[in-house]
Amino acid sequence: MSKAQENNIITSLYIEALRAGHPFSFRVVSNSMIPTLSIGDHVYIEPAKAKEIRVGEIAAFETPLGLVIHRIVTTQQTETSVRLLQMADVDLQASWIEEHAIVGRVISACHQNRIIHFQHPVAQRCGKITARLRYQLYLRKANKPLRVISRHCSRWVVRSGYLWIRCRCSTKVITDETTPIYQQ
Amino acid sequence: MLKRNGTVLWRELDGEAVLLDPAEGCTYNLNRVGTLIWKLLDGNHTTDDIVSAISQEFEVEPEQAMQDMEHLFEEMRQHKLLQSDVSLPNTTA
Repeated sequence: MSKAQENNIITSLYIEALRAGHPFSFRVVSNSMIPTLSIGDHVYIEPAKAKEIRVGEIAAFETPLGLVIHRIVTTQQTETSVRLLQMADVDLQASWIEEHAIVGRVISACHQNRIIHFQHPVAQRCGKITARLRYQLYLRKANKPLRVISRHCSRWVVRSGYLWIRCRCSTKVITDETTPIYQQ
Repeated sequence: MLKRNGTVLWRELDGEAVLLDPAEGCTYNLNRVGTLIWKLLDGNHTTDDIVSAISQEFEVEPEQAMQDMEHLFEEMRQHKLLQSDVSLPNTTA
């Protein structure tokens, strides 16, 4: 069994465990959610169904490439199911996720020596506003003259939202050699 | 009769298994012998069945197979990969 095959198996096992209701911590391996999350950060994911995910939350979903975490910017309820529009924080690309692909949501993250609490009411509100603004910018992106402006505005919105959440909804982690201490 | 911990998730590829214990968040890799033993820990096979299967599959003496099996059981017990010993008495009244 090659290392890649082993990693694929481990990922599928973790996804199965999430679907079975077990929360887990994962290490971030891409920069698609910068500035909110960077490579090496640890995120805590709790199991959730598509119907439970709110706009502005960072959802965890299954793709052919493995488990991905991106922000949900809007939802669409059909007669039989719900689908969610996901967007990375780093650009204005978006794609729909089908209900069955959703496995959970990011509850918190250890980012630059701080624990960010995404379930904090301020973080929830901030995430929602950020997501709605970016969705509007995404819709205007189709208009060529507005494309560059939309991208810049999107970056500004993400950056502002991130700073606000980091400022209001995070706790500093002070570590000594033996014991981690969490400080408000 | 021993049985694998039912909460442990596992997949097999090319005769080797990868295990995930969701409660501990730990993963384990089993080699071909370990995988065969793991698959036979279904509650329907006795330790004698397992020893016999190892001997046949890997062409080793039953003593060697027994030793390897006991060693793996010990490690599995330590990592709580076995169901709390559901040992049935060897003799019946």
